[in-house]
Amino acid sequence: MSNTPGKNDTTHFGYEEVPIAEKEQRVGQVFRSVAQRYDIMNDVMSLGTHRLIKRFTVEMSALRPGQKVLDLAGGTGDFSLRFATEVGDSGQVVLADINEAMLRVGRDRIIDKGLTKNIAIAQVNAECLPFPDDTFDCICIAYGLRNVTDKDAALRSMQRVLKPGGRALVLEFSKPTNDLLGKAYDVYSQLWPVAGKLITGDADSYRYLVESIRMHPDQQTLLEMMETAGFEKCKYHNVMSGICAIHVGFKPQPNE
Amino acid sequence: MNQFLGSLLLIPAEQMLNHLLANDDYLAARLRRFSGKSICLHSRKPTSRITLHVLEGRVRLSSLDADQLDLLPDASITGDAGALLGLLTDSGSKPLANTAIEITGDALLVQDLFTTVRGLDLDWLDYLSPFLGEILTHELGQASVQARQWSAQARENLGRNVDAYLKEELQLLPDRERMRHFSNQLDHLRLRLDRLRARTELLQSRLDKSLKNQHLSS
Repeated sequence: MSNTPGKNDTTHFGYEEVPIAEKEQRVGQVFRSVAQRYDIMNDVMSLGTHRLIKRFTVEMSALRPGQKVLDLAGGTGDFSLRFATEVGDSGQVVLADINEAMLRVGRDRIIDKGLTKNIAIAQVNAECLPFPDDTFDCICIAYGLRNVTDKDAALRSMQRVLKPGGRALVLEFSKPTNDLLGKAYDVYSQLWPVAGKLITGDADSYRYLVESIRMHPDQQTLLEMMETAGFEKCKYHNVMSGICAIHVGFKPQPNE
Repeated sequence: MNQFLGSLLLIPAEQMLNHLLANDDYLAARLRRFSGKSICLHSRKPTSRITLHVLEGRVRLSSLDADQLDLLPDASITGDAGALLGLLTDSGSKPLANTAIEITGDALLVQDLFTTVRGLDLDWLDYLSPFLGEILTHELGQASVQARQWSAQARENLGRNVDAYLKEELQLLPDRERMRHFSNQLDHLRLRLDRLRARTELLQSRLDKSLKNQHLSS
């Protein structure tokens, strides 16, 4: 049975329903528009906490020297730089993103840091990753799955290129578990388009960000999506009472 | 404790340790033989967990379980937070022989690692100066010495005042000389009792013997 969507099917773009073929272009536009100021905006919106969350995610990757890791939707290379230290010179990090503008920023950062030795860069579509089966020890997609048109296809593709026993990490905004915090967060996130206008000159992109967070599946739904895609031992960790969640899943070993 | 918060709390400690290792070849060389080893520290009060993983040239501290980190720990140490802290701060070789601490796995590795850590002569101010600057570090050093002196003095004064209050004012506790006298009297009494018991036993045995003789002769 195929889940492949038809040409006339629609999907979410924030609160809007758009034809599937259009979403990719519009998300591309969003990220082209914010690429240069993306990291500054992350600091502003998260009040710096995104750095701590990323550090914790890297900790959860349990990477070892010599391993191969795919930083999917890695954009400006924040994770790739961290992963590069973990896997060392004998390992390899592939910084992958569908958006060339984001990758360009990431590539420049990596060159500026002098960490080109073990980081490769690839422009890829997460729904059909151009890597052989069983390639990576770990795949991390951070704040990226939300923007993918066909999330199930992306998860299946990730599962395919992961080595048996390898781990996939999905870091995403999620549903706050505390009502009071959820309301405060809702109010706070309404300010993001304003901040976006001031810093990047683009309020619409950050309006999309807020809307796409609301439309993203909650913790349990994403967990089930990962299981459906073929991951096992799936779990999630709520960070900051569920404002973000880190989902972990493993590719089954052949004998299991 | 929440693993994310635990992880945040460990960041300064991990950064400090890795800074030490990056700037101290001697320390790095001593820790190199532990490369690849991991130790889990479980604190009962308060409940928390730290996984220490020694890597090539650096260490990783994590609040995640060893299995979440794909590690098979070489050793685990369980105990109260105070006792675990004592492992790092106590000098000498006694702290591992502590009933408040339970060690499973490679106890020799634990012994070896803590002996190495305790044997290091670290000048923390030296290591702090790149972060805080020379002036602030110097001020911090002075403040730390003064705080230690004040704390020692305050502890001594408090002890002396409480002692005087309990003994002189409230007369709740006897003074040292009286205690010694009382203790001597107790010792003396115990010795006399021992002698009395020995004498009673001797008399009893004599009595038993004479009764036995009487019985035989009749």
